[in-house]
Amino acid sequence: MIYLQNKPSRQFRWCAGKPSRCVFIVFWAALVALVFFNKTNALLHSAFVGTAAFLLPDRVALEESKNNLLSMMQIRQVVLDNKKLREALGLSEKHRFIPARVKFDGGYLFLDSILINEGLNAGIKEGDAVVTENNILIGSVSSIGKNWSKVKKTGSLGEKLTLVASDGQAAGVIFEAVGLGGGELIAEFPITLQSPIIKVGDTVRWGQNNDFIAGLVDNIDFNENNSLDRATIISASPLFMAEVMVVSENK
Amino acid sequence: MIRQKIFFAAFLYGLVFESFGFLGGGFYLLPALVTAAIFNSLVFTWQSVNFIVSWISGVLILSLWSATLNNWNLFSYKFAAHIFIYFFILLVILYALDAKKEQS
Repeated sequence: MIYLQNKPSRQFRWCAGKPSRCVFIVFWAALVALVFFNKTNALLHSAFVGTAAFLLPDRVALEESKNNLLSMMQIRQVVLDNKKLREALGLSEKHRFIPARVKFDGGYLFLDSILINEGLNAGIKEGDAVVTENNILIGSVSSIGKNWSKVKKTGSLGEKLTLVASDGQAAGVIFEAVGLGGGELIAEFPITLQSPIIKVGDTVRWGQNNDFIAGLVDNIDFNENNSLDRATIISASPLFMAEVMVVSENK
Repeated sequence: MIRQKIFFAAFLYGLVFESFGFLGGGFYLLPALVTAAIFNSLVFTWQSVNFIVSWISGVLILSLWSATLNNWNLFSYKFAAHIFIYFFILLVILYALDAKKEQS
């Protein structure tokens, strides 16, 4: 019989080959299962994101606190003037724009996710749209805390979005697009040989509110064997953002 | 022998991504744990081979999961880069922990 000196002894690698291995399996199963309970998940989520929001440096906070008192006075005056003007013009405010600062932009690591410094205390709700000052749709609020909100960016993986074409012959055509991740969306259109429904470079707007630009048509994949055109749409949200606006509906 | 440290590192890493990422439901956590299990159970003498094999399997698992979430549409290049980076960093952490264990 040949004795292999270096042959490792046969043992159950997962659990140290001890009688207590089931304890380890149960421990890991319980730990993973615990994460999927709503309350535990929410607690962990708040702990991680809340701590990060607290620890991330706030560059303009000091400057803001210095000018806080002066700003308060000015804002009060502006609000009064605005109210008077709105009453005079007979305008009713349907949406409320809540300004917020971007605390953390995920980049390639935490793709399609940004963290802003306003939350429940500012009146933000889950599902509210997030836009830039230039009316470009960035995404929607996916989860929320007291002083933070996590924004799911436009074109995130699996996201279905209703869009409206706003240029040329296709103006007013409503279609659905699916996110491919990283700000890319794909939409399918029936082929019309005489005049294509949508062209490269066309602007598309958000279906729920046509004021906001969702993206631009980047590419159209034409295939004769296919009965549909596949258009790739690139989200128009800028690469670097410092400030955003949350669009909250007034009750 | 099971290396609890490796599993715990993968668990924490997955949990951080689960919290900050937009996709929940174990999208980041479970593939991280599976990759850690593969890395732990591979028996190649060269640790770099273990690294590459578990990296490829992790990328494949998450790619398949992403495709199922997206009605079997291919994801964008940016998302592919995101998956590569996610598993690369995870395995660098696991590799470092493993190397430390072997040294001590």
